[in-house]
Amino acid sequence: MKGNWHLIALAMLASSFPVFLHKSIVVFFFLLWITMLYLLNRLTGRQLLLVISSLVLFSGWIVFTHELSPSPDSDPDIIQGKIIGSIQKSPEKTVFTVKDTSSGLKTLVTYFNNQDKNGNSGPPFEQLRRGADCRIKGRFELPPQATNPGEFDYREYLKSKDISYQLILSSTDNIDCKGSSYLHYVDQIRSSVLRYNNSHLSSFSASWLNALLIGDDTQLPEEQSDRFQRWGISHLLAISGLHVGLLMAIFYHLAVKTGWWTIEKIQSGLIAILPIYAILAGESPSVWRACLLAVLLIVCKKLKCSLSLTDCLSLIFIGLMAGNPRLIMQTGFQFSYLITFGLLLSKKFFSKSFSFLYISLSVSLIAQLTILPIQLDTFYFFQPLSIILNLFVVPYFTLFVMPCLLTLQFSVLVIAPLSAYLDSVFFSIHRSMLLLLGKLDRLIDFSWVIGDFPVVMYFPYFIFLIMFMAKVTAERRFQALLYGSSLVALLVTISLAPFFNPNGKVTMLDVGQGDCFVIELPHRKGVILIDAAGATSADFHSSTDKVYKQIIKPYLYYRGITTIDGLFLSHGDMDHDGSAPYLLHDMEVKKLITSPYYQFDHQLTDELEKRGTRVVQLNAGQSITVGGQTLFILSPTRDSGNPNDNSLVLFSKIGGKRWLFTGDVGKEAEKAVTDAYPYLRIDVLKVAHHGSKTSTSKEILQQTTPKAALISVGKSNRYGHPHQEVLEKLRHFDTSAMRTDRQGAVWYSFFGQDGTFYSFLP
Amino acid sequence: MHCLWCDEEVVPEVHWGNLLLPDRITHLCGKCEAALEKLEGNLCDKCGRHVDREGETCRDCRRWEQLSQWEGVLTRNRSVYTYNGRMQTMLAKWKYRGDYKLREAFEHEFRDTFHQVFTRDFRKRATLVPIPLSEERLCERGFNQAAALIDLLGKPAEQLLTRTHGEKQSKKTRRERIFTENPFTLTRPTDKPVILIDDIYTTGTTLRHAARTLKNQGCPEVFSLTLARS
Repeated sequence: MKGNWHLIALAMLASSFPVFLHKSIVVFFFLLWITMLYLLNRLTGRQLLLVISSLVLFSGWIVFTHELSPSPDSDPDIIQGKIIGSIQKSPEKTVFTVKDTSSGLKTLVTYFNNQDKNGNSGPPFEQLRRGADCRIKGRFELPPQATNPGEFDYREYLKSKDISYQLILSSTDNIDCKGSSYLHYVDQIRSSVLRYNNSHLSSFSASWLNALLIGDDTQLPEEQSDRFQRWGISHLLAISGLHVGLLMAIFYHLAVKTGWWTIEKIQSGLIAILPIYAILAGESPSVWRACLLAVLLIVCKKLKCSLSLTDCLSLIFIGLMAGNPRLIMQTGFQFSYLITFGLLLSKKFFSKSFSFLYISLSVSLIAQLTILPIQLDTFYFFQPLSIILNLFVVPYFTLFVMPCLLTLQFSVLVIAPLSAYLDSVFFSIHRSMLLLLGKLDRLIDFSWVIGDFPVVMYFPYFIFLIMFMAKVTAERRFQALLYGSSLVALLVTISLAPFFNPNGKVTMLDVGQGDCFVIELPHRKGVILIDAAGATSADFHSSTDKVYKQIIKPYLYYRGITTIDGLFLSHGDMDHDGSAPYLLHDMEVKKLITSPYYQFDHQLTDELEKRGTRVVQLNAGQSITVGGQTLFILSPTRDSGNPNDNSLVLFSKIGGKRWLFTGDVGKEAEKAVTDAYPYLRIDVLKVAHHGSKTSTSKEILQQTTPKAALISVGKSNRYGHPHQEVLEKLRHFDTSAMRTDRQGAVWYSFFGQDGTFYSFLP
Repeated sequence: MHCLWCDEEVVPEVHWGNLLLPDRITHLCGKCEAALEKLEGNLCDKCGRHVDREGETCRDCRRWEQLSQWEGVLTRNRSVYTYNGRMQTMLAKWKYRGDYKLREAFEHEFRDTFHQVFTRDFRKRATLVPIPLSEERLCERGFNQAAALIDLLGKPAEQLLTRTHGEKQSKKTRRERIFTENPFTLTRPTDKPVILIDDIYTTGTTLRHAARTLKNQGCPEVFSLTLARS
């Protein structure tokens, strides 16, 4: 199997598709491919047998571990288990994982530090140690799952870490722990180094030091990690093969050149140190991958066993996947393996000795191309210029930041006086670099929003990529160009797909207690938003970008939308317009439509001015056409003095159905509408004010006879919406209600005059 | 996998070019593979050795064709490798010292040349005939190298010829070789074209003798394919 271990790794990968992504066809194609290789005499019968049997065995193993049904014990309020992994402490909270002794299920336990009523911010958490046996009281629940298309799924994320439940620890009295494992001492070293760095260095340097050497990125400002992510260079913020390789090189040279140790001793030393460093550095998949790969290579060298690099990588992949098949669903794991595998495959290409610049550019390009589908699957966009940015940033991190931080770490622990000087050097250089990066970010933001990358497109994509690289390596320029253009054509096709799609869509996003409707016209003739709910901050006075960032923007990007032809804001409540400023900031909004009585706050006015967005204020009786879709304004006719009653009421015929969007209007305003339009008949009613009993009168239902009602409402909200009375009225008039708190996002997908309603949750 | 010649371990290296379609299973390591010289480029139209210009016939072949009794007896010969030092030692180990498995080292290239030289249609029509060994020689070696090569092609070998025992070819001079008696006798005549298979083409006498024997009894055309050309 030597030289072919990647086939076993690929077999494992293929076998994970049917279970995790419901794509059994992948296994079929894999088998077809492998059999073909055998028939073409490229594999021996023994190899074929080995690959197929590992496919079968691993499929069985995945199904077995997958079916380990997460049913809570008889007493769901108490867990008896062992703490596994490290305990993550930050100023706000303490997080750790407990593995139940009897069921083997893992629970993520979170304790918010400042919730003690006595103001005890430093809780007596000394007994919290890795490997401790704990008895925890509390309610354990399923982690929240995504309820909108495109939204990050926390439940799936935790599952990929093999964690099935979460528990919020309300008080330190509810936990009782005893004992610890040896690895606890590594955790102690880690936390004391973190503490030491924080107390002896400037917070700026300490945050970077802790992130890049100790793998604790909680102190890095979110703005930085966002920016790095946007530019596809977040791999620099995670400890990866680059860091481990660099550390090893420095360690090796120091030891050999100074003559402290023999090479053999260093090798043994590294075998012992690297796993400890992996734990010390936060145990992320990329750290483990890098450390284990290094260890395996050294062991191979010592045993004079000629395994190729790809074999070593594959063996580690096989080992880690056998331990936890769900790892394959972790984005970090996927990125780390794909990039490493892609670069190892390019060894032959790099061996042709090009200039340093050319090689750096190629590394950057190969890394970017191998992870592109996953980048798109996760973020729905990518930054083509990041390839060039990588060219400068990677050497900067490798040649300056890392050595500088290493010296800083060394000096702060050993030669304290030097550290203050180094600290200031690092501070001034790195800060200006970050400022420059920030400027670049604002100046040349050419991110390309492609939208969802369909899983079936992975295959043509990777085949084109492999052929492209093969032809480049073989110096077949013309063919390389051909495959390269196919690759780009594939991306262009995916991003243009909406323009060829004759289906339209009306989506009620689950934004919690608030409204946000997205109307996508067929052939992408226009995108209309009715309301953009914001999230209220903890003090209920201002809005935050949480809803925008977690729900609205991901959804729009997921659909490949960056231009909004019309944004209607029904009225000036946070749960209807709170995300408008962010939307204006990020997207191209062509028109903003409100009633004449809408009060603009200064944040919105600022953005409107900055972007030069046209504002249209419409009265009842007027209409507006956006992307060929006409919407009629039925209300307000006058300023009622109450923002809710001043809500825009919109009527439109979309996809063969008549829709009425009502904002937050009360019964009186509803009456004004039904009085003014006595012959108004509708099919779909957006239930006003999230189903409050002060809206949705019997009369409006009786007169307009809607068949379906949409209720956008938060899960167990504090207002008791939707009101029982309203639900009963709807039932009485045979109007079927669809609500976001139960079904998640609800959408109507139509072709011509026909369509169907779907919901995100079953 | 270990190299059949130097026993060095061969670890295939995956790169972009062989990820989808892995390289053929090799029996020689890269170094030993490189030590063999493939016959490519401008080859003699008749015997397949290197010549200066394309489509040229070498001096030896012109001499053969001038002799009326040999003219057109052998339509064309093609060989896979040059008979260089490495080839010589490999053939010696294979043939004389009985390393039968070593033939696998030539498998891919021999098959490729066979497919390149003869069209699919011709391959179907033609009969593959190994140059036979005399019974004594076969007894001595244990196998017929020509039959072993046909076996590599996955085709049936037709034993149409037998050979009377004589002195070893390799012990004779060029003159002696060319003017020896024909050592071959036909076991049964054929009316199909024939591809003669042998391990090495040196002067071409053996192959021509065999070809003439076949042609005298009604065989329409004779080609030959050998592993090496000296």
